[in-house]
Amino acid sequence: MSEPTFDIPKIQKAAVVAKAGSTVQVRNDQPVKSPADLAPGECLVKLHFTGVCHTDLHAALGDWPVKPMIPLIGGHEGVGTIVAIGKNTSHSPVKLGQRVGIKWVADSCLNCEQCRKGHEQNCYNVKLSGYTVDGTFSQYVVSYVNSVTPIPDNLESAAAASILCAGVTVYRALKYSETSPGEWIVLPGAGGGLGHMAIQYAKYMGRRVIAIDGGEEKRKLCEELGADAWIDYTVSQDIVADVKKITDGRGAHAAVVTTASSSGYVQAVDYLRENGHLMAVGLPGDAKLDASIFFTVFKGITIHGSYVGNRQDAVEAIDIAASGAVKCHYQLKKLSDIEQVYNDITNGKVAGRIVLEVV
Amino acid sequence: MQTPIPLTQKAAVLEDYDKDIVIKIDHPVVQPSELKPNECLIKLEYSGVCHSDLHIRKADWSRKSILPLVGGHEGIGRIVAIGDHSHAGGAKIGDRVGVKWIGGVCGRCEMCRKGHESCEPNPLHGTFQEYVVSFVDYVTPIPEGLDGASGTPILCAGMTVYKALKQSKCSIGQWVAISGAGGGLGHLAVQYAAAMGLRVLAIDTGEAKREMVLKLGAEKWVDFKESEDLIKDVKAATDGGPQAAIIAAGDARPFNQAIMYLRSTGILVAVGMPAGAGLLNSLTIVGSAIGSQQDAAEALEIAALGKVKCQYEVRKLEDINQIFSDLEEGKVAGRIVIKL
Repeated sequence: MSEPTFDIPKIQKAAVVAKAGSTVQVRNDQPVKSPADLAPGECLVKLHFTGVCHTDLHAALGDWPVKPMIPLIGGHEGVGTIVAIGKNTSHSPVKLGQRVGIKWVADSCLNCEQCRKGHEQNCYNVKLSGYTVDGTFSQYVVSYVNSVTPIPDNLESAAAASILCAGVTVYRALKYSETSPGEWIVLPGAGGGLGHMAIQYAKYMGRRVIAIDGGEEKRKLCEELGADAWIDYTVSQDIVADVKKITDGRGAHAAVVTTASSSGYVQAVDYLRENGHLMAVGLPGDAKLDASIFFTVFKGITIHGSYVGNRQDAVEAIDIAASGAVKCHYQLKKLSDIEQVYNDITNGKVAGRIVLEVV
Repeated sequence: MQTPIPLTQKAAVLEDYDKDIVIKIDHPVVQPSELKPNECLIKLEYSGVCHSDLHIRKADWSRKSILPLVGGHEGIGRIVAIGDHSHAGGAKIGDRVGVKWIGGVCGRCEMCRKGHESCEPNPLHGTFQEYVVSFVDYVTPIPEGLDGASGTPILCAGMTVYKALKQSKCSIGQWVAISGAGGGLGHLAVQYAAAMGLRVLAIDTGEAKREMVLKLGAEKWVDFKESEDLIKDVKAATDGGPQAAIIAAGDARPFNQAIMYLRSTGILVAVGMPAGAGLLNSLTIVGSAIGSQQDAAEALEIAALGKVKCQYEVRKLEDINQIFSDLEEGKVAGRIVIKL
């Protein structure tokens, strides 16, 4: 039996943030962990493509209440090939040469109470890609055989990249929204990296979608992807009235809020119908959810914090994408463009997602 | 832990289905150097005996065990060695842990990812010996202060009925019927159900079992041998039929009776699936096999809090053939645990 062999360099290109708030720097001399140094269970992945998530910007700025490591190599939507597996790794579910994805949850222990209950993303010993362990803005990254997600043959790497975070996250939020086919889901931020995939997953799951975002470009994207209705928040005088009008006066059954600011949460309790579900997904660092206690109780509204997903959610989200039902809309750039990409995200200029070719 | 690990031990070995189990005093002990990564060696305090062990010993199931076989799958003991290159996050030397029916799962397949820990890599030797091999990632930590003898049966019987009760989706004040309430699983089910605030109707036979289950928290009792119309008696005892029935028997009769006495929309949880039964009355029928790591942890915690006390008799490994005989003849109330 011959296994594939790989030439693994000693240094590589990587995008490094020296400390919180520093400009990201693309260096060519970042050391690569030698295969001999991989612990049992670890693997070395040669990355081909990596998505960029707003979280990566938060990581670079260090503006979240939970702080990242420094210096930081960001990134957590990586697709690549396994080029080495740690010695004495027992029963690896993945092989040398296999194409796999690396997610935000780089590894979970599978032993603590949260893992045992299936909430692997809340593992007490979790490792986070591009936050507490080195991420995917580099040519090679250390990952974990039990946690990487195999990519099906019929899903291309660049298309798969952003499913690994954005896709899984919105898919899970929809999965746990307790809605049924035909019911109305409001998507504030529907034209963004997460939002535009939420439209597609929601349509695949038979829901009806109200897309909320701003501007002509985003409207076109949302309607192309199958949104049943559109509200432009920069133009609308009264979002609650607009949502109610679309939904027979009753309000929507659920909202999946993916905006990076608190704006998407404003009025969500008001435009949901009784016993509706608010899925809070977007992560503004310093914002409060302003919900009327009276109406939350009186209407029986449930507010769920929905945070990425576990391995099963990831496999399901990837399989749906591989079937062709969900396509990430992305612009392809290069790892060396990362600084400009961060600027564009900061200025709200990005429709869909940006994926970097790791060269 | 400096006590040396012996090369041989006492073990109850099944060599031939047609012969008695043999007690060997020179059965080899797996040595630390032979342990694979993530395996551990446990010195056992106690092993429980389960009716499944009897089924395996009699080759009752379509899937036969390996031979020779050291049976048993409920054990509590301390880890005395861990395989080289084991990862750092699992159980450690010196930990007091439980060994269950499921020795280990892969953790990566669809069933595992969904929390249904039901795959098993290979058949393993069990707890009818002094030293058993298990897995650092799948042994269950035993709460401090939980007695070894009464805690051992929680690892199979206890967690199985606990999970079955979770699946019954009963809420406080609802009636649950426990079929086989005086047995190893049944008497634990009575206690878990009572701890969960449910009203318990115990079904079994004989004065000894009746006295025991009423003391353990059952509110009402029906003797299936004395009753002339079990279905009528159960309905009368539970204001028209229980919301759930936990059937810890593989026999079709209690199963079919439950279908008739359950309240509309009720849930029948079959711990062990019998052949052939009908579906009526918007019932849900759930096949329930053991449980996950989380179920095990919860079941042990409830026992450690004193809300569930296993009724057991301690016997010796050398009595294993007699123990199986007694189980077969229905002579065992509660559980038998073997001191190793």
